[in-house]
Amino acid sequence: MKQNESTANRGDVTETPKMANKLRNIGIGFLRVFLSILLGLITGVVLLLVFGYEPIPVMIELVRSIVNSRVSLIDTVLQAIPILLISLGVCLSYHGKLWNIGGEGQFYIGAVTATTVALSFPDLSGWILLPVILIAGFVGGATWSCIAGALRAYRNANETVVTLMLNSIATFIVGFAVRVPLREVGSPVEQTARLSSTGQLPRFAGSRIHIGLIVALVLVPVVHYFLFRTSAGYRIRMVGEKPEVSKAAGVPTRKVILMTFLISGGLAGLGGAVHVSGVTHRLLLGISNRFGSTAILVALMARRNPLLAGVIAFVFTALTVGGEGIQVAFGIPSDFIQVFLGILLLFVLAADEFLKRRWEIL
Amino acid sequence: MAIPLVTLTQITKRYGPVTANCEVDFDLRPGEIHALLGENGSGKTTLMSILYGLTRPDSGEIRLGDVVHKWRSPQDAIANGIAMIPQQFRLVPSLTAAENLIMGLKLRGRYGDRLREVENRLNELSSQYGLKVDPSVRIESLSMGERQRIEILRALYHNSRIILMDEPTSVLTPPEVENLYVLLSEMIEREQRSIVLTTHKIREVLAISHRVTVLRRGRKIDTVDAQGLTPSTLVEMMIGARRVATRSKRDQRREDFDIKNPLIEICSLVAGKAASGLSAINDVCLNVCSGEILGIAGIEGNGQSELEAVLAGLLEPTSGHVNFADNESIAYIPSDRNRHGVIPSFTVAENLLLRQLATAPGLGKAPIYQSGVSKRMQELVERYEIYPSDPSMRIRQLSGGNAQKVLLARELSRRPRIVLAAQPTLGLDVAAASFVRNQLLEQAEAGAAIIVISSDLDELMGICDSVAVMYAGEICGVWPAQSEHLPAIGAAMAGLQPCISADLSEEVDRETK
Repeated sequence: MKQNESTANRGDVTETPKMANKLRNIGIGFLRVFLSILLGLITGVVLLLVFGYEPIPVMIELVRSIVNSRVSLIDTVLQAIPILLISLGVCLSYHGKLWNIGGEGQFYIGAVTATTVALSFPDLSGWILLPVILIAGFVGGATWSCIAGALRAYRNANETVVTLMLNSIATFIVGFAVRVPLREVGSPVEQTARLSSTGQLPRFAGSRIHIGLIVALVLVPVVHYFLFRTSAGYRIRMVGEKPEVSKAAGVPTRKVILMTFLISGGLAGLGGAVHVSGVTHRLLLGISNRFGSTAILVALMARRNPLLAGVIAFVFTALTVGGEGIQVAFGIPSDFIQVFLGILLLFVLAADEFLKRRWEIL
Repeated sequence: MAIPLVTLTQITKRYGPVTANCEVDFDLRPGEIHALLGENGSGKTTLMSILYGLTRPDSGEIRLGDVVHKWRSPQDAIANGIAMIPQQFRLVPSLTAAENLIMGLKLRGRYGDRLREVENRLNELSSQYGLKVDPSVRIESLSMGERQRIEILRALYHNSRIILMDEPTSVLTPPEVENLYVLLSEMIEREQRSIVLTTHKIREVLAISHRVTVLRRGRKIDTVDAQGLTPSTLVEMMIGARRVATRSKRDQRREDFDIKNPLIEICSLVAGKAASGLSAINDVCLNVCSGEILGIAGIEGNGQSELEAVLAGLLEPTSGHVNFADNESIAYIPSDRNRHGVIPSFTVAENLLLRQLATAPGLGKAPIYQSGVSKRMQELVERYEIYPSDPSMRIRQLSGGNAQKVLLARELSRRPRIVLAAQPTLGLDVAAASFVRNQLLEQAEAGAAIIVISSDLDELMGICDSVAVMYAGEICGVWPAQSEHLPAIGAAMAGLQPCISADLSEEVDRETK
């Protein structure tokens, strides 16, 4: 009799239907996004009022300057491509709890290596040259990021500090490259020569949008699959969650850390290659419009999920581009949008923490 | 009988799909020690944190005397004379007892004066109850028992009428437990304070409590007077229909083992650094053969944890070496489950497949998504009686005992030839512990060589073929696990045994053969 009783208890105490649970979680997820955007907007409005602007016209102008102009739409896409690529790498490394903030530097080094290769073999056919350029960018970014990776894996150096410092070094390397070894002969400006036409990514008919878009969009599900479905991806997340458990279970943790940095930096470097070969067509100073930091915002906002990052990268870039519009129309510094995005992110992270405590989900 | 001091009625608390408390009634009388008895995950700690205001119940009410209260936070409970002493003490190690206590108080005036005032009051209380602790000493230099007494002092300082203690004896040494019992009964008798304590140790319940409330799977089974209770009735109430299986130990003698071919060989091992500056493990030699279970006994801190780390490959030996006959077939059940054993944020299935995930080809589909795996996981979960029996639950949603079963299922279902188990039943309830022990016995039956490191001597005597005692980093003897050797083993654990005994020289003979 007692046996029966205990099995009956098991049944009614725990088996809430899984489906309902899932729906509830999705509902709470939407609530989280909605609430934090609302709070972010309110804060944005307050900030605008504090600085003496009228919020409503500013916001209308923000949206109008994104949607109404073909140029800014195209600009959005062009900038979103490298941001998305970097942020895919960021998602990956943050799943390994490796706080790589060196996307900017890895992007730059990728741009340098890609340009070097493109300028060295200008006469190769595009079918060969373009893949080589992209690979060179990946390798460049990966190598750069591996400096931090190796220091972290073998010397336990703090990767945040190291990648941050590597960012400044990378900017100086670009400065050096465009001034001395790669400088266009006879040019008054500090820049490299233009890439040969075979070294430029093909564009979609009649627009400046290049096939780097396809590369980035294809990589979104690829990175997602890699992270959540393959054993290597599992190992990255295992090491991130519990390095000691992973080690005891037989994971070569150091190799995994190194590999995480390699792929993460490689994706950022690929972003650099795509941007040079698709947009600027030459290396020059300041080709990154703070792509690295926006990519981190994107990855965090997407809660490290590559699929979500694919959407959010475009939204955030659009807002950044729109920010330039309101700078022109109202004289509000375009930094305002970065401030707004940062505040938004804070609210999202706070909401996550809140939900975790209140409902013990996520 | 006096009217109850506290009454909890129809308390229900759910965490997602798990019901921690289901319509539980509870009452506490003045001047009694009331034990909450139950297995891991039976809901005793939840009930206690509801009473203390740490957790808000989904439904049900809390009454003090005749007044219904709704705690918004523990502050409310404290203001009403309730104190809680959690399992993990809330003391800042680098501060003194008085400094720790003053942090939670709203006092005016100069800090130094107030501190002295608090210190004096604590000294007074301490001598009044014979607690023998100095409130001006830093916490980090105190033993666990002394820290607990500081927590009790905190409750006395607030003059709490009701003291809640979560597993009060789990961190104490046997003499400290005795002291605690004396102190508790004094507090009851002299001042009519009331104490609620959670425990899963039946002996404790019978020794000091007046009444017992037994919980099982979040429901109250019954509240009974402790007078005249027998351990077996309590066990029956705690675990219901499941019997505590105490399989009789195999009556096997050392000579029966294939001692010429040990599966585990530890040779003059030196490793680690102890606080004294010496090696934590010093010149340890041990062999374990197929089918043998060797227990490592000893008071905590005599090198067992370093030995565990070396055996698990987490600590490099300074000199000497450990040889396993088969490096691929080692099961490891670590003492710190959450640090070395499972990943709490991963699901049961993922944790069961951790080793495969660790070594499968990187770009291949992860083992967890391969066909037929989910059925195998379901079978494992059922075979190892993991509850809730759903492989997609996350480990952190499970109780400690069930998380341990997941670990066991992963490590032992591979039919390992070598098993390393450290504190395998620490913190587990009776049923889960006996499940774990039976699993180890089964593995030995199947021919595995097993080392069990445990601070529970009864457990070692129950399942091992022989018991080695570690003292100050050295093995000071190996005895057959039979009760006639208990006095010698106890003396060795206390460091009273000279390091060469008759049994040890026999052991040395055996090894040199």
